[in-house]
Amino acid sequence: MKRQRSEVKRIEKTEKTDGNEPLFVRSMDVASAAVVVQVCYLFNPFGIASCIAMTTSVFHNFLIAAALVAFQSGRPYVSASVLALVSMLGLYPAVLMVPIALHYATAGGNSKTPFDWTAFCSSIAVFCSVWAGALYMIVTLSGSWQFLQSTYLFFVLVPDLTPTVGVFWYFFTEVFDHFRLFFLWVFQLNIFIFVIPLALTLRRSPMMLFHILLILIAVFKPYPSVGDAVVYMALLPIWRHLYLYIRHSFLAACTMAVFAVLAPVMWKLWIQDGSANANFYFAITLAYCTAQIFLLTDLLYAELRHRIHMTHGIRVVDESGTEAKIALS
Amino acid sequence: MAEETKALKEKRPAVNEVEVQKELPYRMMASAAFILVMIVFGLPLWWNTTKVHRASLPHARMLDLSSRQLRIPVLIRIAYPPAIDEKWVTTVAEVLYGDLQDLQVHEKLKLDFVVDNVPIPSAAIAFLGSTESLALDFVLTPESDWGRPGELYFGAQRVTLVRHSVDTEKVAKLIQTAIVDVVLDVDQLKTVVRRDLKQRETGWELATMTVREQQRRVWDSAALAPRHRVELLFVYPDPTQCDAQPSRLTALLKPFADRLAPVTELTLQSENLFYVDLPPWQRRDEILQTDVLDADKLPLIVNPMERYLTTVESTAPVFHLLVYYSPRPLTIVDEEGDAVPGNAFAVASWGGLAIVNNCSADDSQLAAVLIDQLRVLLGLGSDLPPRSSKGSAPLAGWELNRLASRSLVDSALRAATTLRALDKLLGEIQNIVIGEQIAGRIEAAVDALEQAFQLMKDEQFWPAVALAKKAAELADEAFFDPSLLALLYFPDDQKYAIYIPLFLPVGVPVVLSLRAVVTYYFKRKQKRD
Repeated sequence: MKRQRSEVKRIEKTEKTDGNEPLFVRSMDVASAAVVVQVCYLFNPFGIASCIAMTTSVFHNFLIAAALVAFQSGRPYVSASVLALVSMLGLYPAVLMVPIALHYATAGGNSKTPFDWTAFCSSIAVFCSVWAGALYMIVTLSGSWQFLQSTYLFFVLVPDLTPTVGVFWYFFTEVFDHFRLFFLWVFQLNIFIFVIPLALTLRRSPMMLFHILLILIAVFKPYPSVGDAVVYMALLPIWRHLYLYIRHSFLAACTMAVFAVLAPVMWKLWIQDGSANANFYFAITLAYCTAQIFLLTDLLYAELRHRIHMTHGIRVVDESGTEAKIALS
Repeated sequence: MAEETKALKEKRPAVNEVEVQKELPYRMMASAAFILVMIVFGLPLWWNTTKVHRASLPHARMLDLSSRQLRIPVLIRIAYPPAIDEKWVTTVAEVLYGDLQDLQVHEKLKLDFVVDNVPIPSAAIAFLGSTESLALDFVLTPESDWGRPGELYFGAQRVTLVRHSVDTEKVAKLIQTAIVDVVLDVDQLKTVVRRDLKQRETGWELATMTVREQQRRVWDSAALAPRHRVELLFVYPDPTQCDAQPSRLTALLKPFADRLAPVTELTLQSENLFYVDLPPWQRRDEILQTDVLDADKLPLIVNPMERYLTTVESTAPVFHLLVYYSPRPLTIVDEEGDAVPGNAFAVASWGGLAIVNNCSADDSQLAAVLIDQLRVLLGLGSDLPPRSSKGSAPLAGWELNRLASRSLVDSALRAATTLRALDKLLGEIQNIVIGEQIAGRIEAAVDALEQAFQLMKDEQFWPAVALAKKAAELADEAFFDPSLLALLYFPDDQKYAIYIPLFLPVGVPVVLSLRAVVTYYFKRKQKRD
């Protein structure tokens, strides 16, 4: 069962407050957010599907939510430890350590306080030591390092190409052996290369960074599933004050709905009936990934635009907003 | 309204400037981090993971080996019983040595002759002791012990018997003819060398070639490989009538194969074909009252039988020996109409056909025919000079010597040529993958060949034969290895097709932001100074 969560968002006070109400977070939004988030999680069709399939993503989601609660309620080392457990299970949630460490270094995204390097390093140190301790326990219990082959090396080397909702399997079925290692590196690097630029851009909003990294992980993991998408979809209601600036919500929502209907159909046609082929299934999966990326860029855009409006008021005439300097592909 | 917007526009630069200036360093850092990872990490990664793996090869040694001259040390031992004068034998030896020095084989092959006199107690001794070098043994037999026609007798062992006469010149000439034409067959060695070096016959040589030489070239058209496969195919057109199971045949051929082992390894396989018949080219001959197969129809038999032959994945040359159990008596006749002895024929580099008319006959007869076919196919036959005779044996010792010298020349030249060709090929085509295994084989081949050359210099003939064989095998294995071709036909435009969809969409924003980062950096430096 998920725990109740509460969000606290700092509001920047500026000179111009009249007419800028839509920019601010309302207290009733904060109170209802908890209920809305719970409802979104429990009634998400992808979540229900994961439950029916009896996957282990429920444990991953629980630990990620626990880490989120811990870091929002001011327990830095608890959240680092919980995140270390999640990272031990699946490799990629380790990038979520960056927003957590940033949160403690900037005291919750406050731009006035200087960057606290000791807090940053100590939270990362706790994360690494808990992960190392858990690994040591596994080595002692199993007696050898052979488990690495079936866990981390499985993620990294992608030996199994069973079709998933991700982008890895289709590419690696057709890549030449000579280039396989190169493209494996490129694909794995794809997740980690965006972390530093995003962290530099969103250093004042660690919660938004956390959310965006959740989407990034769900899209670019080697073996993703729809269960990975449930957490970030459930977290969308907390950005009520950004809804004004999200541009592609209709497109993303429709694509996700179409994916939810067509993906099982295409799968059945391909695998069970044999009358379609892999391209059908991959096409709809690709549309799903594109919808998630649209969501990600929308959130980022909305956050940056919101910042501009917080300092210049809601009716800034010049067209700011999309910063062309962000080199994110 | 217009004044308000104008006022706003005037106020805008000041506030925007501060905001942008505060945010800009972080923007630049973000772009710079991205660019740094892509260029500093990505480019070496791309280079290292997609380059063609080429192990290092000993180029100088490979080229050097193909330019060396083969020197075969030949030891001639003249044995004489007490009845013959020692000084006389010494004269013969000197004359012989002088004549042999004028012998020119080829610029690539030199024969180093050493003549040795060995006293023996009696002319009946047929064995002079084995040695590591190539020993050609001659026993001078006095008139009293010579009980056969002619003046030369090529024994079944290693020894050749020479009839003694007073004339030293005549005896020396006899021994020289025996060596050059039969026991060592220098002409054959010369042909082998020229074939291995791919030197063609000139028009003059072709016109003046004797029939015997032409035949020799036909039978020696293929190099003597380190191993051969012998496939015995027993063809039963009517199994109800004749169901002989010649299971002993492989056992009967095995001693022959074992004796040949130092020179070439024969692998024997056998297969039965039931209800398979020869193409109907036989005709009824009224004179012989039997079915006959004309000699000129024999080529028409071979091709249709090809489809019954199995293929095995191996680079060893194959001899297909077919044995046909004829339901009715069938004889092969030559152009004159005479029955061919053994009722069998051989096809160069392919194999042969033997016809068995009597199903229940003894296997040893058939084994003799098959061994004869193999001898012809391996080039063991020889034309004897006039007034000489030969002992009958499946494989005489001196024949094995001759085959060994031919094998040494073949293997050494073939290995050297293959290594040079390999070196040239790998140097010219940059796309060929040289794995560690290939490099290991090439090294081993080069080592073995160098050692073989050294052993030849040290007069260690038989170890040199074995090493040259090994070098030839390794060089062939390296040359024909399929792993060389892994990236050979990978066209360049396919490589671009692989890289562009990945790099272009990522690269364009990176290049643009690189420009922005660089201008920002220089502007900041300018502002500082």
